[in-house]
Amino acid sequence: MKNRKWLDFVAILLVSLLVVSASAAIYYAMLAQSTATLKPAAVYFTPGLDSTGILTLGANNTYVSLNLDAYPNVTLYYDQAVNLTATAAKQVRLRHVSISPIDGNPDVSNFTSIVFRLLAADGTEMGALSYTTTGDNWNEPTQTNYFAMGAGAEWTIKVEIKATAGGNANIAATIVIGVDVT
Amino acid sequence: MIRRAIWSALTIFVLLVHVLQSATGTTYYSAIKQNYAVLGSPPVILQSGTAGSSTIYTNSTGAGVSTVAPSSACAYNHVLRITENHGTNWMVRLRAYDQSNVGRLNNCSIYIYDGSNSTQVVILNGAYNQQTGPWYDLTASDVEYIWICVEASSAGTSFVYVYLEILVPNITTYAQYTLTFVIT
Repeated sequence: MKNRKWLDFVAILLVSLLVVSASAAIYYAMLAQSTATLKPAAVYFTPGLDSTGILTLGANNTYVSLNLDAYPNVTLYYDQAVNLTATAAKQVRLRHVSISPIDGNPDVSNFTSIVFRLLAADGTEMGALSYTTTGDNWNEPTQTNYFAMGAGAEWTIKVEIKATAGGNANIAATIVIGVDVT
Repeated sequence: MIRRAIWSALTIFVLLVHVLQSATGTTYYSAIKQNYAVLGSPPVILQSGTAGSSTIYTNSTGAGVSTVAPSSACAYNHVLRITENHGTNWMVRLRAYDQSNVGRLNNCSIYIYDGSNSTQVVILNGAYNQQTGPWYDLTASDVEYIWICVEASSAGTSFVYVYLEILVPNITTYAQYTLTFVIT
């Protein structure tokens, strides 16, 4: 009798497991098929009036490198260091990515300020990233707001650099900023 | 029981909002701009002139000039020397950007001179007659002079703050030096 009960229990357990296994296997799948098509960027870099000799454009104009000068106790202006051209209506902003030398390096104190201004076609300043120094440390900006840029618009990035009166020759700073487009 | 149901509903709501928020994330891309700024020797060097009293700041990129104004017969003084330092061509001009106590100045005219005068900044009877000068060629290794003619109606001290602007020809890149004229 005792064995019978035990056998009944095992049987019920096996059936339960079968039911569980069977019901666990019921599912369905939804498919998302993605096609990635390479398209030119809707907002890209183009040379400005002051780009000659300072600008290196990357492939597809989505990367740019600028070699800028700075002079001690002088503010140097590049009114049109590089331009932004939009082929479709987009929102753009400037965003700090990185800067070197890093905080604590005495070379930092050779600079007073480096400012990147985003100017619309009519010269209106939309936003700016302003890097200043306090001793051997940078005061870094974060990002500007997003600004609507119409299709066909050409904006510019103006750069202003000021070094300290006693700035030493050949000290360099590298600043990477992102131009976010959405 | 009701309280538990409310908490459960709230939890589900928060989770739902989070999921929806994730689903509406914006699509964007970043174009990267890398900038190298290198400190170099200044394009133009300032030196003292033969009149007045000049203080040339470190690296010769700024100056303070003191000069005395007679009450009549404008005195012309060669107060600063500008020397091109890069072996290239530039354009230069003066632009007054601030001042104090200039009401006493019958005349304060500032020129760039290299055989012929280029009138850059003019204050007549205490008011600006010309605040920004025309661009003037500064060729490679060239030397130019800044002259000032001052005449005051009364005793006192006046300050005229001026930028010496140095432009790369044909583009819009320019440097700004600061000059301070102190007129007693």
